[in-house]
Amino acid sequence: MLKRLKTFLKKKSEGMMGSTTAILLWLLLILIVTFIFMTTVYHAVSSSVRNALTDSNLAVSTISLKSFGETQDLLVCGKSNSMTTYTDDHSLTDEVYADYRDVLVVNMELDEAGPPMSKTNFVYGGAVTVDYFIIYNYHAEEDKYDVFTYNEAGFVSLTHETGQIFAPNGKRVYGTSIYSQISFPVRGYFARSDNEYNTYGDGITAHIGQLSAVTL
Amino acid sequence: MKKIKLWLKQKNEGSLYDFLPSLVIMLAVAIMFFAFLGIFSVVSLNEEVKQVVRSSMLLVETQGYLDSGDIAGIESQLTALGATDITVTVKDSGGNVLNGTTVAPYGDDIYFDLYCTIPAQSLNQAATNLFAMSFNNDGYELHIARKTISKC
Repeated sequence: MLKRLKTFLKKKSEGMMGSTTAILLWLLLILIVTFIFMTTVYHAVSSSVRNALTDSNLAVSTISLKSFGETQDLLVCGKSNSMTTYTDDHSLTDEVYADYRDVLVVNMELDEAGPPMSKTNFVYGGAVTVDYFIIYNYHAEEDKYDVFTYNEAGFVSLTHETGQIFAPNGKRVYGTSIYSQISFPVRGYFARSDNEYNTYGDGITAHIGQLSAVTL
Repeated sequence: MKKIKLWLKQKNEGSLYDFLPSLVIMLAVAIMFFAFLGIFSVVSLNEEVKQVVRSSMLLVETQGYLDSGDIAGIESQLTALGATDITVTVKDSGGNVLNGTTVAPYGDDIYFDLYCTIPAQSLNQAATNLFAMSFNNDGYELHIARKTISKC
């Protein structure tokens, strides 16, 4: 009797162990496959956002044609000021930032224009914010940069820099360039809905920046 | 006889409990794997199409229009990637087609739209649910919209 019970118990426990281990292994495999899948999706999103940022940076790189004729410097200023002489005044470049926002809405296929610019699909969780929009205008003769910094709220500062300068993402600036960086909330592993996202408020925010050199 | 019956019964139950969960999960993994493969091919083709779009954007910016020869060039590049049903439109902010007789002057907005179908076993995916997907064999319709400012 005891022997029988022992055998029974042994058999039972062996079976349980076998199926439990199998299920756990399969669940692990599912997690791994999901992880690879989501990593690929995030990579694709990142590179398509980079693409859109580069296209937008280059789209708004309108220069002052008059100053180019005089000094051969490529100095970014608003498209309606192309025939005025460049001065280091942000009233000339405000238009560039306004254009950048318009262009970004189209290039990133955002849902709405104007703040907040938003996009919702199973990766994007909500509004897109402009962290930085920086114009580096290089004067070759004096070897100095006029740095116009904008963010979501608009114009922030104008500084003059010399020597080696670096964009916020660590890339070195060579000549006249435009740097832009945006951020947006990213949905996690299983693409939670907006409501859950707002309730927990522990989502991930992606910051993606791109430096583009303005050339002829 | 009774013993054999008992043994058979036990054996059956055991094997069912062992295999059923594994089979179900195996099926789930297989579906996910194919979904992954389908998405991966769409993603990589999408990247290549965007490279073609980038080079045509530079052309549009510098000359302010795309004539039928330029568009044929873009179409042949996309056809080489396997795309079909290609439509390229270049318009200014007033909706006029920029085809060479109409040119966008310096500082004007240019809207570029590309529609094409890339060959892929694609997934229809609901916007809010990762697992609400279904297979689709008739390719993936791609729309790439770009806006730029003329520099010609």
